[in-house]
Amino acid sequence: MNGWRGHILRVNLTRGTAKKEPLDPKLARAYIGGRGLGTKLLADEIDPKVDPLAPGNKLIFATGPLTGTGASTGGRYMVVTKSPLTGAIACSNSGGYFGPEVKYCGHDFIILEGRAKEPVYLWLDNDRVEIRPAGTLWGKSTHEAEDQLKAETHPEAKVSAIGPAGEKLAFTACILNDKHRAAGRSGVGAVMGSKQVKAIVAKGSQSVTVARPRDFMAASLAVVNKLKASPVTNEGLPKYGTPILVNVINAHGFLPTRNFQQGQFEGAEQVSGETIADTILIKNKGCFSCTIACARVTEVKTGKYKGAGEGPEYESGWALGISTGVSNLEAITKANYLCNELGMDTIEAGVAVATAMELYERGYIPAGDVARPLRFGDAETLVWLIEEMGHRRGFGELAAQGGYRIAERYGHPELFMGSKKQAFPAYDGRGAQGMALGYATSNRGACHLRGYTISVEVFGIPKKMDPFAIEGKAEVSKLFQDVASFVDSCGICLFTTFGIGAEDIVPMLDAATGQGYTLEECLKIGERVWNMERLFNLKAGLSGKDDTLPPRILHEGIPEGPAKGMVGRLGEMLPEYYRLRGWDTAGVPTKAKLKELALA
Amino acid sequence: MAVVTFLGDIRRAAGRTTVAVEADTVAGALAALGASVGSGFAGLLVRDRVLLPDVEVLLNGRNIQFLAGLATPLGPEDQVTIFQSGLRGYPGG
Repeated sequence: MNGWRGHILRVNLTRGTAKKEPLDPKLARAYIGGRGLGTKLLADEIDPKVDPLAPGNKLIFATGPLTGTGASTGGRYMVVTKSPLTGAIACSNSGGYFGPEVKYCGHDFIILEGRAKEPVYLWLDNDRVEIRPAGTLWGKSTHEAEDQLKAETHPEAKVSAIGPAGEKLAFTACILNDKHRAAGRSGVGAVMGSKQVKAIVAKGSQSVTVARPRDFMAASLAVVNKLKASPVTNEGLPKYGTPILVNVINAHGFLPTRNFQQGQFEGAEQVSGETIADTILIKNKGCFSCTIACARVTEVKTGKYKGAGEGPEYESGWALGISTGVSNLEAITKANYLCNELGMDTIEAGVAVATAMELYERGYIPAGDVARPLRFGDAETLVWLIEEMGHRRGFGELAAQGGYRIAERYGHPELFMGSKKQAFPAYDGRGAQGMALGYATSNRGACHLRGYTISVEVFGIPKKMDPFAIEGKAEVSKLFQDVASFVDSCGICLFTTFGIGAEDIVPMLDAATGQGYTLEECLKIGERVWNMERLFNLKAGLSGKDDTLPPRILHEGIPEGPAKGMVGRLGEMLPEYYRLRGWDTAGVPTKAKLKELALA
Repeated sequence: MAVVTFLGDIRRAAGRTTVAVEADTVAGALAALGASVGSGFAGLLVRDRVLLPDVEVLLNGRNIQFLAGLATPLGPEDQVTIFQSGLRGYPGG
């Protein structure tokens, strides 16, 4: 096979076995790879009602056919599993260099099943696979673990690992590779911890072949040229990174502040991309084969938050800072570093802190339950609580399970700001109605990457749409969701879509695989993947009733600023969205739609 | 006087974060920037009386496209925000 390596590595941790299986070419053609084929494999192999932390759940590391090919940003891999945070499908996406290395070892997918009797790590030395004891690694940070694993295996090996949060089954736990790149959302790190797998270490020397090298080079070059011509992918993201959005979204009045109690943050300038570029930024950095290089290599050089690492990105800086009312950039950066080292999703962790702060300030969390007051704007408390959460100590034991569990424990689940028990990211859906619909309908719970309508609602591309209006938002949400599903299945970064469209990706995919893919077919595959995820969730016990938003978003207007008085008009958009999806009024795909998508 | 705030690369080009201007419309405010920021600055934003496609202008947080465009009236307490976009988004279908 070209593009794909043609193999699945199946590791049964209970039995301590690893075997290489052939990849079904028909399935690869129909689901491409990454998110699409990874979800197909999971849906076929597990009971959707399985306890996510039981041995019956599986954890799939999924690359795409463009991963490791040299296509611009072709370094992505996904982690697919059933989420302990949401009870729904989870697919978390990461960059860096780990994904390509898996393919250079000869694998498209790694399926972890069962549970090891003691902590282990996998060492993929080209085709050779070893399941090694990880007792001396357990309890170590992702950074310490990576350093030790490279010393034990190969200095140029690539490592994907969990930190203490994952070991302790925190629902906020993520999986870090290359120390700073995270498969962040939905608690995938807890599933890895439940299997007692500390890390996967890969070092390969094999190549990924493409079907038509000249066409592939031409298509890839065309993509690079478009990315270079875009002010965002050539200038904005490299120079300021994603935090360039802080001031932009704040100016629009839908930058969620203090657990979505306000829509503008008085300290936005202090944590903005412009300020980061002028203060803590050392340089920008790219993942494998990336021509954008949006990552922030940063350093706090003095003071109590002194340290070096990467971040904060926009979502991380928002969740850890703006959401908690903290405008101390150095403290936010420290909290970000801690999340990476302890292995926690910055969004889920930050929103958990914000949820706890609101509960505390309203008197719902008794003072005796926490070692120190939880007040918005308190930078020291932010850093302290993040560390407590990573180790699951004291109040951090509960807080590490995310904002929903905290709010539920104290009798006020309505104060959790998220959907399907997963925290909202950094846009208030009351001010950007497309995001409200996207959060409610996202299969993995609230997410900005599942249908980024900010593209039309703020940046006006491909067409400008009023963020306050609901007209046309169902149609654009569906389209963006399907396109994102396709892109995530290929193995390239979604950020390419700031500069190119699906029509630019298809020629690369087709030249790499030689499968004769067309744009129409690829968008249909995206729709198939979305519906397959939906079917998984329905079988897991979710329903249309879960396509909802907190009462604050639906009924409380933003109190001030440009979006003053706005509420999320989900009820007016959802019926049209279901109709466009070919689903019934309860949000269930019709037989006709499933037949059309070859899912019946 | 209305206050104009620059973001991102436009801030770098302007060499400052904000500037106060006196004008009756958004177009007038952008034209007036030349006096305080530099004579060539307005050319980075507007050409032939049309806003460049990569430039977004907000008046009190609302994109002027949803108001009256460059002809949108401006008051002394108003906040104007200018940033560069250039996103292509998720086209392709």
